[in-house]
Amino acid sequence: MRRVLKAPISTAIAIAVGLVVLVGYFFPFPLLDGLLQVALLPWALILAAVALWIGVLNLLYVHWRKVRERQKGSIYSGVLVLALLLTTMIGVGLGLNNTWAGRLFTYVQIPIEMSLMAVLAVSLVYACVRLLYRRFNLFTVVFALTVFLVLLSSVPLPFGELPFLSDTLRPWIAEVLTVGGARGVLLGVALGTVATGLRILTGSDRPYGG
Amino acid sequence: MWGLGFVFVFLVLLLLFAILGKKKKAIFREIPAFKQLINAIGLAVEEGKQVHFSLGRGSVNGPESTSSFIGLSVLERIGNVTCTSDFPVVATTGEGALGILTQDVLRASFRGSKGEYRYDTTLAQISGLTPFSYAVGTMRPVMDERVSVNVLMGHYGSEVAFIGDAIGRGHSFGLAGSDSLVAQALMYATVQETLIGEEYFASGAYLGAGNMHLASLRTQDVFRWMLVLIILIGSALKLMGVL
Amino acid sequence: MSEVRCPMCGKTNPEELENCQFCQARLKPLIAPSPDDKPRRIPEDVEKPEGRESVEFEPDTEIPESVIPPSEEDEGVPEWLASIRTRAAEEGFTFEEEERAEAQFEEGEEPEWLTRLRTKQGAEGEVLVEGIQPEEEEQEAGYLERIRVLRGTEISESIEVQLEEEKEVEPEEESSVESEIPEWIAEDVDQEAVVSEEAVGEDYGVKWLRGTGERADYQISEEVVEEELSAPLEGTTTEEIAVSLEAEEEIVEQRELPEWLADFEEEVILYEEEEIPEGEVDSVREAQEALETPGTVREPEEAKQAQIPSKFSFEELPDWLGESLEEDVQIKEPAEEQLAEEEELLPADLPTWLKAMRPVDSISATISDIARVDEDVLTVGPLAGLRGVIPAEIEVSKPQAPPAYPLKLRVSEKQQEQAVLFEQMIVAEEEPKPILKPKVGRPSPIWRWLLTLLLIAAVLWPIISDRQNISLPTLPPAGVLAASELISSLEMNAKVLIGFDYQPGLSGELDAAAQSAVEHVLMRGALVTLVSTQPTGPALAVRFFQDTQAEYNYTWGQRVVNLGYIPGGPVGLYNFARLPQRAKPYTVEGYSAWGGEAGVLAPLQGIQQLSDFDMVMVITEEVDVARSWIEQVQPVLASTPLIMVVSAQAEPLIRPYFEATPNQVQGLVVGLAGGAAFQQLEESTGLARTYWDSLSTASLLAAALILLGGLVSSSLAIFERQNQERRAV
Repeated sequence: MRRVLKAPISTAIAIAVGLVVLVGYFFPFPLLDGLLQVALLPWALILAAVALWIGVLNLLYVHWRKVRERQKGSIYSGVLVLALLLTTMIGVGLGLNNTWAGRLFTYVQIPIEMSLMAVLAVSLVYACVRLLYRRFNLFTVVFALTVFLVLLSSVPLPFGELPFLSDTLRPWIAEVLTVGGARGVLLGVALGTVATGLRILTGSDRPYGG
Repeated sequence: MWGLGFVFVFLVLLLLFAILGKKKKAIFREIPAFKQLINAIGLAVEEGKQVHFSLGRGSVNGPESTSSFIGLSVLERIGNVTCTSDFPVVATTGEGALGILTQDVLRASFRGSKGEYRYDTTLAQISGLTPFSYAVGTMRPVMDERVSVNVLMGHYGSEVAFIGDAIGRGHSFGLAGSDSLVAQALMYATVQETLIGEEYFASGAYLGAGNMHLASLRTQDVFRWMLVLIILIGSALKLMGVL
Repeated sequence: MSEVRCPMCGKTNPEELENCQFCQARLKPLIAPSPDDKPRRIPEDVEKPEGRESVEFEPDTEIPESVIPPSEEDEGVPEWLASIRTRAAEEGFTFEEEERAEAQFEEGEEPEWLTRLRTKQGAEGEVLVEGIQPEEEEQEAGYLERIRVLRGTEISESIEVQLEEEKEVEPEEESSVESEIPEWIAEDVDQEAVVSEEAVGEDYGVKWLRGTGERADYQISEEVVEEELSAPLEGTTTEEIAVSLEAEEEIVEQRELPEWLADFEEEVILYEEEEIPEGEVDSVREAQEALETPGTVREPEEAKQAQIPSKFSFEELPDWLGESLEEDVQIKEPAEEQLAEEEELLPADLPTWLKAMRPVDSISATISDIARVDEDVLTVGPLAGLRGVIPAEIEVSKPQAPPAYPLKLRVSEKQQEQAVLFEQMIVAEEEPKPILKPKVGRPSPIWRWLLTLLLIAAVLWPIISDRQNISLPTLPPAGVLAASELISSLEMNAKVLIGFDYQPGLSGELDAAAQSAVEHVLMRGALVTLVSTQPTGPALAVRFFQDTQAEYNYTWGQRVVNLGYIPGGPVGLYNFARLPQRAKPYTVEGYSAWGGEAGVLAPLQGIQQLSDFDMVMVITEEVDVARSWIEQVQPVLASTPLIMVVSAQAEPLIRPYFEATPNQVQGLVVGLAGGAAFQQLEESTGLARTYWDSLSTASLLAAALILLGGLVSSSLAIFERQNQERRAV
């Protein structure tokens, strides 16, 4: 019985809230605006904040289970669980402006993420080289050539700027081709967004499992 | 008011195509990525391998929520196929609310196949709450020996290059799609099959998610041509000095 | 309405009933007569096996039509049968082939079912009454021999028997023993188990003699049997076993019978007044021995001749009978000794011509008749105990083990071809096919490591050598110029909102890009409020100020306020843009930002909504975050300028907002290059200058690697493609 009722109720709530927000966007009635400001927005923010906590708890649960079941690589999960608990204790107990919290952030998280970014640079160079071998076709050649030209024209060169590349070709690629292509893709994405939103509003798509 | 009219016309066309679509069979242009995805999933189920589905780190209340919902629709389809196999699909997300929805969708798939008792909460896991921690956390299931198919569908940033690189270093098939242009560029360079532009939004229709997906695809086509005409006419008028 | 009398209880029943309504006995037998009251059709090979006479089965009762199988001549051939015939004709399977197969079958290759049927019919004497087939002879001989041995085991000590007396009794015993065949022996006969001489070892025979229950072979040669017989006898009465082997055998046959056999002996006498002449028995034995002798395989005709006793002398027969026999059989002259022995033993109670009329073959029929008589004793009903009564339940209705049919199929060539094809298909299906997996290339770790080392070296070389040779951009981009002008226009204590919305991983680029801009804001004496839509943003902001702006002696809560994380992404921004006091009432440190004990914090004084700020600056690497600020916050800013400091990767999508008319973004600083340009413009020093040379060398190297690697990869790809095409050709 619970399952039978759950789907229509959740669908009805989703459709109703979507319609209220949509109508409130186009017709700023005081009643709708009030409803949006007083009820829906705080709910959404609370949900987002709680979802963050749920995410943390899920992360903790998944890795704790890996440790408990001694799955492959559980040592890393153990390190994650320990680091998470330690950071939480310091952050909640001592505050964000505390020296220890700052040190943890400055000397642990930031170096890790920046190193990952550096590794990403290497990976992208390597991927670009391999791309021509893995998928050799016209589009890939254009892709790789564009990468080369934009990279060469964007960076400071020891011998100064390249005459045609830096002042003509690179701006043309970046501001005309790239922006034009990006606009076209974004228009497609926008249409897809509208379509998806309307499917959810009509209840045909129920990503909430109803 | 223009916006409301746009949405209204879009909705009317969507419903119209949904009604007409029941009588008319849809004809798609071939997108090799979907064909390969279907084959790869079939092989994974037959070989007793696992499918990993990454939903990205997009929120459910931002502009990137559309991308997340597309990913959820595809996940539902794949979940329905694989939930009866020995190794059902495992999904990773980088956002709390999206993680809850992912669990709900997967549970519904198991429920649909009368196997809710087989559902495990770790099948839908949040592998990181920041972009890079999510990417690194997702690399673990991507490189798992049991995983033979990796599907990336959702909102990503530059961190997706890590996941794509891990797929390339592994032994698995990869398909990636996103609403983010940066992510699309990086996916193209690193992942085997990439969905470009609106191909990503056509995923549901190509994977047989329902009649409404077909209808929305047709409606998008209609509006796309309308926009092309408007842009061309506007440019011509601008050149002529009318605008 | 006619009535039928129940054969069991004798009460009358309506004709249509199948079972008696009083005693439930079957009223209508299950034998099906042919519709035209003709005798039931028996297959030819069963009717006339090799010239033997047969007795046609004539049903004496009426059988319901439903049971009658339609004959081939019937007009109403069922559809399925007609289709089978048509198909058989189409496939080339003719009935000639079937007839050929039948002829082949008649030549000797009899199916097992027919052999069984014959055995059964022969035993019952209903169909086959004449002659014993070679197999049957073997069976007869086998169990005769076996009974002899069995009897030998029963006798233990007294072998002093008067041979003369027993010789007189011998024929009777012989016949009686043969008629009283226990069930287990009969089963053995049916099974036709053949055990070779080698297989029958001494142990086997001993076990058998000891009565351990092991199955014995009834085709064991006589020598073996005699050896086995002699063993127990030697052990008991050694002295008395001086008689010859032949006499010993006879003695064994005359030993004391077991009780069950003795009873039966009396019973047989009641029914079988006639003694079987010894000559007949001997001739049977002779034939039997001939059959049992290894290496001598007699033709059926010879065996038939051997079966005919010496009594069948044509001189002693009437003319009419002699002629008929002369046509059918060839008589083999018996040995003289045998004839002499016969003359001694025969009681000669019957006239010769009458004896002659009883062929040897009919012995088996007689025996089986006796057995049948015994079987026909009714056990139920009012006639219980009587023999010879026609049973109410005929044989057909009794449960029987299904006959075992041979597995040899009769198929046409076309069917065989189709079967071969089908088999090939099945074999092809069973063969594992290689699974075509998507081609996934695996990168080599060596090249990856080489690239990494090269890039690290390119980055480190300018730092280690401490050389800053590459000049900063001389001409700042338009976005940097606009941003610089806007910051320069800020008054003292102006309120500036800065959004730190980037990830720690990109802090290297964005710290350098934003350093000069934020420094310029602080230099102008502005009061700064920090927020972030990223969970790590507040901590990143604190670190940024501690690392890059420490020289300005700002105090948290006085000149700089950190309101912390705004959850909910765009929704949170929308809420913050309209109701900032409700959205973020406290600072990161936990102080009330908008009016606590200490009053409203300085950077937030006079701020009711975001448009009250003098400037909004957003530092982000992500397009969507930048768009959220543009779409959710910029509309409520009114005349407040919005400056974006973005990563290089976000430039293509953010630049249109800056270049549009009217623009939604009033100033744009892009990446390290933008930060360096800002720094050059402000004539200051900072991170951008430090990173500039490293960025230059590393980027140049990356471009070169992409070019060279791309050329090599392309060549390899082309080469491999040509190879594939060549292989395909």
